[in-house]
Amino acid sequence: MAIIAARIDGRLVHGQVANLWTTKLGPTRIIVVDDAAAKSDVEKGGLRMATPDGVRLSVLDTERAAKQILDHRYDSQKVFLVAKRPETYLALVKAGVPIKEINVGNMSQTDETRSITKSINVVDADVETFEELDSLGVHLVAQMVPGDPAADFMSLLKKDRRSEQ
Amino acid sequence: MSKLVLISHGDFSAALKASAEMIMGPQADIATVGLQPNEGPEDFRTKFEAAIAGESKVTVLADLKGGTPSNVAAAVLAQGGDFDLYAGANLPMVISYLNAQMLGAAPDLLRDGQAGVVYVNDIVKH
Repeated sequence: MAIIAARIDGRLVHGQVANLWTTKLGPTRIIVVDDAAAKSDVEKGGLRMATPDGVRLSVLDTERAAKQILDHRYDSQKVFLVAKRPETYLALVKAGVPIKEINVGNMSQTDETRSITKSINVVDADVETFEELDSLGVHLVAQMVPGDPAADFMSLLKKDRRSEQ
Repeated sequence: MSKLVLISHGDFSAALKASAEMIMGPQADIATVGLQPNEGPEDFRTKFEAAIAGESKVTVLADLKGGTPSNVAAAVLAQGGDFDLYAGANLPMVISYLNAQMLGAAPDLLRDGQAGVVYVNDIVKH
């Protein structure tokens, strides 16, 4: 069973992830893959508080996450992966972690980003990372809430490319 | 079809719906009724009865026990109204309701509403 879902979310575990997707997906463990959070007790405390009762939480840096998943540590569990950015997933996939699909949730706006959807904002480097994930066979979708249809994220990116030209 | 009706003093109920939608996505089956400063209980009752009319399974969350919205709804209930009425509405209750709808389960609004009220310092400072 192991990985049942993977999500990109700049806010990691928050209202939507904790209350909506966790209820819908029914994971037994959320693994936050984030190098900075893995080093910060304050961030870990905040993530722990946001995680619903009855769901276990791991906050791991990318290398440790890949190692522990590949060591079959979570094979008997239902794991929901959450990371802030696509490059984290690219590193996991390159390390051999079997991720078939990623839901691109929230990537927040900065001065450098452009908007793909209301909640997804990217720079050129992100687009390249998404293209690489796509070429490695990872299906990228954008689905805000379970009731919405899952949009094909690469098509959204292509639409963005076209509108630029 | 099940319907959730949020009732409040002023615009709390409309904002509560908007905040829930920010987390849970758009919700077609939530109605809101706000008692405005220039309105009396009779005005509110008219709007409330319109909001629940023709619905078969209605859950009502009022903002404050003892306040006019809750009192009016309680009077409608006492006179044979067919709905579940809770007072002390909070966002955890709305989320609990919506999650139960999604899963086809019965929500425990009292439990989830109370479980969402915590003294965060006790958690942060262990």
